[in-house]
Amino acid sequence: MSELKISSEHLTTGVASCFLPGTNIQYAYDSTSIGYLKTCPRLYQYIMIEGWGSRDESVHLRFGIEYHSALQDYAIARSSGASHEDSIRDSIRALVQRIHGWNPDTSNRAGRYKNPRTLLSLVVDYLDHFGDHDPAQTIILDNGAPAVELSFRFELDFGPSTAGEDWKEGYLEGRYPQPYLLSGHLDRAVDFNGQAFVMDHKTSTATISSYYFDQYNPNNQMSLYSLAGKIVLDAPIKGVIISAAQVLLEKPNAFQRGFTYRTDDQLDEWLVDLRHWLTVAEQYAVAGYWPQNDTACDKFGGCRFREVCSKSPSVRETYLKSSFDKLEPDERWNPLKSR
Amino acid sequence: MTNPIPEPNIRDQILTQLPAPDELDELMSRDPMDLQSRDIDAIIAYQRKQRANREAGIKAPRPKRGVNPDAPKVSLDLSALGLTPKPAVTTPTKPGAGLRRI
Repeated sequence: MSELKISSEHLTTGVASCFLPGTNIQYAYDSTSIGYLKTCPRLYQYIMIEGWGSRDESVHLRFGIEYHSALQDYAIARSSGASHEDSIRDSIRALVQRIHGWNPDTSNRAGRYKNPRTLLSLVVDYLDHFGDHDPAQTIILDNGAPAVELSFRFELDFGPSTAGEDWKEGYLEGRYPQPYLLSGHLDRAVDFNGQAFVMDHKTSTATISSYYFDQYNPNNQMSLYSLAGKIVLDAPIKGVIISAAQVLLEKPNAFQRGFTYRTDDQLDEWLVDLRHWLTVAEQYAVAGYWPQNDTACDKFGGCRFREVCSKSPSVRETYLKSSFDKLEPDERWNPLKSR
Repeated sequence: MTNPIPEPNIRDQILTQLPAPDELDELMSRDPMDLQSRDIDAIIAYQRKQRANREAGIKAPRPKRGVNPDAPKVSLDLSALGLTPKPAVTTPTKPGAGLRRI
């Protein structure tokens, strides 16, 4: 494994609200919440502002979290000198303990593909596939830990109320004390052929082809992760390696990796665009209105709120309540939550 | 002269010596804190066996949804119930019948 210095000041602990107190102005963003905002302000409203969640969504989320945790446990065991077999045993033991009692509804497609049995199968298959023969080597941090599941957080040089050009002056004078924060989780930082990359694990039920990887450039999440990798690792990160796993029920699970690169100019452009997006988000919050983007409803297999948005505004609340759960504030998606 | 007994390869060992499919359910249903290392090994071995089966094109038997395989089989006499199947009748399609209000 490679050794690289890491800036621990950018790693996060603790949880706070991602909104300015008493407002709907979000100051801490991750790729997920930026993605909602860019996709459709109404989608952003339903999830980030109002906290609606669906049962199907939790299956995907749980499956992804447990898959990531299992691979992390394996990497930690390997970095301590354990063999492949001992490491896989540690990882599976912890996984079985975590998912005990998890019983998703397997009568629907989400639960049929993503459940404890398919999860165990995917983890064992991935670790047997890449565990002992991974051309990408996990970077070892200066504290000796492997660079896996790194929660990061860093400030931008602008913040809410940026419509005026005096924000920086105001920030220095303490009038605008809260800059925007970007946060997230890097699955793994790796050395691949002498170059540093962020690695992001994806699970999918779709076929993994070149078409699958095309979706990651341009891509909001991968641009943020490239930027974060440069800041957190203080290294010339080339981009992101997407390590994709396809869950299959009758054929062997399939694994493919793809590269997506970002130049400094591309990352600068992404930040300039982000500044505009966050300014607009603040305007929505001040106005208390998040408009529909009705050109996005059919994207990614169809928005989960499409049926709700297709109804007359006067009855939407009823449809929301019948199909979704309104989560408590501390259960909602929060970019400041560390894993 | 006798033929030498071939040494079983790893795949054969996996296919012949590992737990039956329903053993995974049994292992997963236990209190995970009670699982021994051999139980974890059995779970891993089960997954490897499944992978080997899939690679060999052997489909795992799956119970049909909503069907209890242990239930007694019953044959129904529809004519005794006055439910003799009628011949299918086709109706002409009305103009506009394929349109659906959304």
